[in-house]
Amino acid sequence: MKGRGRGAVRMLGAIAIVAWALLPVAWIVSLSLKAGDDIQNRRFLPTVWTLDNYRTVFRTPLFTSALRNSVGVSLIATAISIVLATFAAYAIARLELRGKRLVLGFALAVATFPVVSIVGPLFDLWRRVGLYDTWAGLVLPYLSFTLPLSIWVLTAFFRQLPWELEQAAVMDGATRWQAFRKVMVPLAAPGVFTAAILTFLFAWNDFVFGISLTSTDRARNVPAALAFFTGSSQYQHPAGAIAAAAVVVTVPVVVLVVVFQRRIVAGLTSGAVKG
Amino acid sequence: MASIVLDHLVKRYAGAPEPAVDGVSLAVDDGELVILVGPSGCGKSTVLRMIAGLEDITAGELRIDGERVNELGPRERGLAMVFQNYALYPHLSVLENIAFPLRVSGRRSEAEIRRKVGEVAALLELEELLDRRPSQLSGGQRQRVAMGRAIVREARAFLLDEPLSNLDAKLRAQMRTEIARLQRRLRVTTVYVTHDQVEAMTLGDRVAVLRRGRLQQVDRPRDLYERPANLFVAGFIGSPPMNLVPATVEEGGVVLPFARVRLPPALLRRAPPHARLIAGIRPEHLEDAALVGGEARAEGVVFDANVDVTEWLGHEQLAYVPYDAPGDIEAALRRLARELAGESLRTQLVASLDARSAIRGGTTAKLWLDARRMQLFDPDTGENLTRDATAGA
Repeated sequence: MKGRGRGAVRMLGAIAIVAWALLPVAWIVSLSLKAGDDIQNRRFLPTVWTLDNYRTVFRTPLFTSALRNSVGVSLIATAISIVLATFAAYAIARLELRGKRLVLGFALAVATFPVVSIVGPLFDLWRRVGLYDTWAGLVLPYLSFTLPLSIWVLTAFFRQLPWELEQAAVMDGATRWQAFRKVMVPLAAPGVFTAAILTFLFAWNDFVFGISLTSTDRARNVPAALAFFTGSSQYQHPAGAIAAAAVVVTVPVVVLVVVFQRRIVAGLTSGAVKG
Repeated sequence: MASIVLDHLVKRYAGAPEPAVDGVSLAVDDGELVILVGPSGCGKSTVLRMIAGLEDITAGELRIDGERVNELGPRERGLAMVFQNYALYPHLSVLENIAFPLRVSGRRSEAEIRRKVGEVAALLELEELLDRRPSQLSGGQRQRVAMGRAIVREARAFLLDEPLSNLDAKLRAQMRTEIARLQRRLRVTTVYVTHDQVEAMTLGDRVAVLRRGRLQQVDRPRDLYERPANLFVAGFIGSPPMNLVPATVEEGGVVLPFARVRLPPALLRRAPPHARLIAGIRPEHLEDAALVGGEARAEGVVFDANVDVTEWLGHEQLAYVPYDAPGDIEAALRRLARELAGESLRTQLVASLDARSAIRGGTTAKLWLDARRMQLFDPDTGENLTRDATAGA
């Protein structure tokens, strides 16, 4: 009986916290479904439910090009970051390497560097070397912040992998490549996914670089583009459209986390070795 | 099927003052099961990993079927290994774990792989578990899967690295018999590493005892037990261990702290007069004097012993008799006890008496010592001075 009571209290607490966290999200969703002046209806739910804001958003070139930029830049940054970080983390976790600690310390130092402090100099530099307002101009600073993070995450993950399985595979007649490909990669996958999601989220959510290092549709990403948003006409309050755009960019993030959550959490390594 | 020859193998790690493996030579015949045994840190696992190809060979030569394989990788040597922690692939089912060696070698049809895995699973009674993941198996089942993965390859030889040490005592005894049966049936050359001397004695065709990277003795279990080459082997093999007692040589026999023993001249041939030696007496060579018949009684010596504690085990009874040892010999014995990871720092005699014996702890009893079976060791070199004499016995 006592246990059930405590469980109920815990459940209530959990619901309260989730509600607290999701309230702004629900509000934005609700806003995005209100048409025109309904935004000022002083109620939480729309009077009339409509998808007009979404139609407007996807008809606005400002948004569609920004969406394309965001997807492209984030995917490229994630891909490069994960490939490089995987190699680096493998080397740090697995090989006898001089200066391992230096690499890790340096990575940490870079990661703790305040973003804002490098934006100004980068702005000047990018304009001079022609990277201003290009995809590459965003991918590079993203890499400098996501690489250290990925290296740390992956190093920690690789260190706890049961590497003796690689020897077992070699004893089973596998080549080194087969041992890596068929045994180590599947085991390392959850860690790599985790790092990839973190990297993607950083790039996807970035606002500071996006607003400072771009000026046109060529490279501007969604968070930056939202700041330039107007409604379907300039006399209309753009809150509904902005809310719709915000929902559109939030959806991939939520989907990503929900889909890969199980892969990340899955205790894939349990049972490999005793204990 | 293959023969494996270790020819003065040496393993030296960078920065280590002593080699981890120091000139080990051993020939494992085709179909033979040889055990490498020794206390932890003696280099037995390193030797096995050198045979497997997981450790480089610093010096010496390793030959499989007469062919030098030092430079070949583990894959080319074609040996199968079972690891101490089983090293099953956690992301694969039992079926795929066993099929793994077949799959990576390529050039086998799916049907053939299924058939082979089926055969091995039947052999090891794993049929019902084929769809499970390793994390859903018990320790004994994981152990069997690891064996299956080794068997399915039809490797030239098996290398087993303490395969039973992660199992509880009852299961270990079961699996021990199972492995022995399997090896006899498949007749595959096997090198088996263990620190457990019971496993070594029961499983091995021959047993190789290692100490600090050096081979002490390679012999059939029986010879190892009855004619240990030196003090280390004598102390290591046998449970409860051999009693090692200070002994002073005198005319026609030796003086022990608790008795004076007349020995056959053959035993004393290599013992210098008046030398201080160490006598080795197996617990079962001591007996309740009341239970020893006339003829046997004359071959040994009866002495009074203050029995401290007795432990009745059903099939036998252990009696502990403390005694005082002279300082210098005691130091040598303590050193040996530490090396064997023995806790017993007390100098005491352990006697394995007949279960019918009426001797109880806290009394003085008459014990009989079988003088014919006694061994004498040089306390400095550890060498068994009676080994040649008993060789023919």
